[in-house]
Amino acid sequence: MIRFVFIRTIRAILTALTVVTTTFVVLRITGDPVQSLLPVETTPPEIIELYRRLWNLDQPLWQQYVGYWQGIFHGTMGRSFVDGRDVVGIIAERIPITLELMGWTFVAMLAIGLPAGIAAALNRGSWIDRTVMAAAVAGHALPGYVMGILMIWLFAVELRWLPSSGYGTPQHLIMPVLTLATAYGAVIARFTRAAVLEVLGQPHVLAARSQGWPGRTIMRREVIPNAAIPLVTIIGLFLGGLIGGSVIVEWIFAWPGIGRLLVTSVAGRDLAIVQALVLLFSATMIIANLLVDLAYAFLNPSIRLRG
Amino acid sequence: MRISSPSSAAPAAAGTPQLSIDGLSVVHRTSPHNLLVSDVSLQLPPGGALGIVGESGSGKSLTCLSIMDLLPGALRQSAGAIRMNGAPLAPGRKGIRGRRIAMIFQDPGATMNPLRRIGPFLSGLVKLHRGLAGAAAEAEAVRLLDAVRMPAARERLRAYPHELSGGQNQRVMIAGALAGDPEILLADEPTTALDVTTQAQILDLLAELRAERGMGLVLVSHDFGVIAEAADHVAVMHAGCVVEQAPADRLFSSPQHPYTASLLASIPPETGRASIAERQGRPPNNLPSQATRGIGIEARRLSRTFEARGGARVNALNDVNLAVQPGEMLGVVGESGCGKSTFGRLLVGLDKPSSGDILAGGEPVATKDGVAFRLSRRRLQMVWQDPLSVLNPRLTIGYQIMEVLQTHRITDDAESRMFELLRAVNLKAEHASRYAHQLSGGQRQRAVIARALAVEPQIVVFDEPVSALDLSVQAQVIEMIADIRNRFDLTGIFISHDIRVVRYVSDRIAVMYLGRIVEIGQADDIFHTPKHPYTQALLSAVLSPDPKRRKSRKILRGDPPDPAHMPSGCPFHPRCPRAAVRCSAEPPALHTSTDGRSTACHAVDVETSGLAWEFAA
Repeated sequence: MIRFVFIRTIRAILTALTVVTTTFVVLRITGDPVQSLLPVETTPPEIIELYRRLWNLDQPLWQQYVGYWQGIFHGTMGRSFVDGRDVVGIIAERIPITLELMGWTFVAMLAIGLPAGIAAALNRGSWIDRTVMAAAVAGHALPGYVMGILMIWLFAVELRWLPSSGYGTPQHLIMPVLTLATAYGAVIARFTRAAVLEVLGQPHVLAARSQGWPGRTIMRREVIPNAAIPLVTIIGLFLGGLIGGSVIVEWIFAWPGIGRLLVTSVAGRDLAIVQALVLLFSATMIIANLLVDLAYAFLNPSIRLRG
Repeated sequence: MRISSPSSAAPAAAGTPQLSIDGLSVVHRTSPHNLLVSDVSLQLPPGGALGIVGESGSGKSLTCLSIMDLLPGALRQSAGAIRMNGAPLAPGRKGIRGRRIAMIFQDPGATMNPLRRIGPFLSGLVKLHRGLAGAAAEAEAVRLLDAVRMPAARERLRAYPHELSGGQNQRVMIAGALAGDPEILLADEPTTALDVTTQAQILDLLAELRAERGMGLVLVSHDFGVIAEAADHVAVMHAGCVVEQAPADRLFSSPQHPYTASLLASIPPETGRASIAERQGRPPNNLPSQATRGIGIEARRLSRTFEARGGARVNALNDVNLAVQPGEMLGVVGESGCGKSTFGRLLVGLDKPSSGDILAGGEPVATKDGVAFRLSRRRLQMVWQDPLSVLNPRLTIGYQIMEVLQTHRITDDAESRMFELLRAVNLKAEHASRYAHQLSGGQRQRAVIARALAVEPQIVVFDEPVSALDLSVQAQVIEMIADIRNRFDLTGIFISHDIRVVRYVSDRIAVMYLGRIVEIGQADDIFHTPKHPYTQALLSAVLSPDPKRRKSRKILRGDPPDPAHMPSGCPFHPRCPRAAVRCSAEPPALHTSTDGRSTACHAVDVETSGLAWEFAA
């Protein structure tokens, strides 16, 4: 087990190194950020030079790379190209806001997806199964912006039950959470159904029935734990993907989290922030993957013991 | 230690069967006129052993599942009654399942919850059926493991199923079945997934448990040997119907129904090597032969090491020396994990040896992808166990054969050659336009063989080519392989776990154990006078389809050791009935005696030199 954790952790670190380096290289080869930020024709050359020095763009590439790493380790990612504030500070104040949205989304998507998937599997081929699966296809196929705008029209404009956008009260949470949770919950429902069906077909479930165990015990002891193993993988990956998925929803509902920050920074060519956000997104993905691997090993004794 | 519970009925009047099935029919819910089991009536006399034998799709397992009301959701019982001691069983079988009737299944590894340790599995059943909890339940779990002769029972309680061997897992399943102290045990193919020596252990255990507990047994199997070994009364099923039922000795000595007779004739014989076709009264087919000639293949000091999880090294193949003569068919036999499949893959160049050489017709066999490898495919071909997984599901059989012919530019008229090949493997021209899923198991394997023969190979390795097939089909395919090999003058290597099948097609047999050849010689010599103790045990484990010949078998104790932790000296010594001190110290070399037989055994060496072998104290 220790060996397994060690290998997976090393692998995660290597992935992180690759991402950091790739981000650096890609942002440098896509052109001079100063030129894309300032109107080149009308800006005097000394102003351009000033900005170059300010962001260390005048140094040789390898020095920039070293400086870039030093920054990551010291928790300084430079200053915003637009308003000159510290990038880490800007992002740090947005993170809890996004986490609030994501946390509730995560809870809601499991609350929707798991029971729906299990119910569909247990009633395979019946109207319950067909309804759940039709809803899952619809929920997954409907783009977030359509769903979001439909909800704004219905709940905010027509019924006037909920605020159309913004942040602050629990009422503000409902629509963005539902928008995200419908899409992800639909996928979870499909995976849950497949995983439960797979386990239901296993000989050990038949054997447990032949041993006289009641259905509820078989569900709790044979089906759910075994179906959970593949599901943990999927759900864990969602956890990483949720933050990326927040971009559209935060924009639609004017939710002041990092998704919205990314959109404004890209539009405003604030590369320092974009660069830091890309690193943040990939770090969450890598950590989520690592946690999935470890959870998988913990759940599955044949990996845990051999590892 | 039979526990009398209030639920168990009073002993039935004499003559009332312990279990009776009357007019059972099973249908698919969506097509109620298609009977999967049709009007089946069977009786189990008190404490008796009823065997149900049939090929796949005969309805034998569905009959068995109906007893427990455990049919798959898409099926239902459309007619018939199932009674225990004369009383009909209620739907759902509450109070019956696990308590009065228990069941064990085919693949013991898959019938156990992979996330549950043995201890909670057993004590949970003890609690469910006997109401014991805590330490009392755990003590009972240990007693159950002792009852199924599980070595080191107490330590096993903390093991997960994947840490045990197949045979051990089946023992645990049987222990679980005994937890409710049932009156009847249903065993659905209980030894089919196990090695032959393990199969013998489990069948012995079942016989002993029956004798100890007076338990009735319903045994379902496709294997006449297993049925003859364990059943007193036998029902033969075919296409959902019972075609014949009789006491075991009468059924095997004078089968009445032609289907039973033809199935019995399909079993490779133990005496003589009369063609199965002759015994079944079919005419042997006569087709033109072709002009390629087999070449010899030789393995020199061949070893293959795999790295197991956790960095352990496993010697799948250990210093194997072997020469197959041109035109010879060499049989390779051994149990799972003995390295026989690794050996086959190495011979045709699909895997790279860790050390040693393979020479086909004097030239080294190419193992790397490239021109040399592609050219070598024309000389070396392989036929696998599962034909469905080696045929392309999206191309017709004919297209796949023609593709091979064209790729290797075998002939200008690929189409007529393709039809010739189909004829050679006893397929019809119409099969050319079929897809793999439209053929039966036997037809698929014929198609695979036709495709392998398309390149006019000189050497063909058959890796368990008939193990996935039903008995009657198996006989036809073996027959065809023997026929093709003569006609095409192939050199062949025939790998199987079934020594009867191997003997039927082979000139010589090599017996493997844990990556080594332990004995090699003429097929009939090996079969009739095995010298190596392992070969003797392997042959002794072969079950004869004749209840009168239930022999006093030499049953090997224990399981093959973990290949990652090989025993010192001779790898067989921990299980060997003849092991002496020397055997644990020094691995025996393969020595050839004057009769041309080679054995790797110290005891045989000593006896050959005229001395007596001293057993270990």
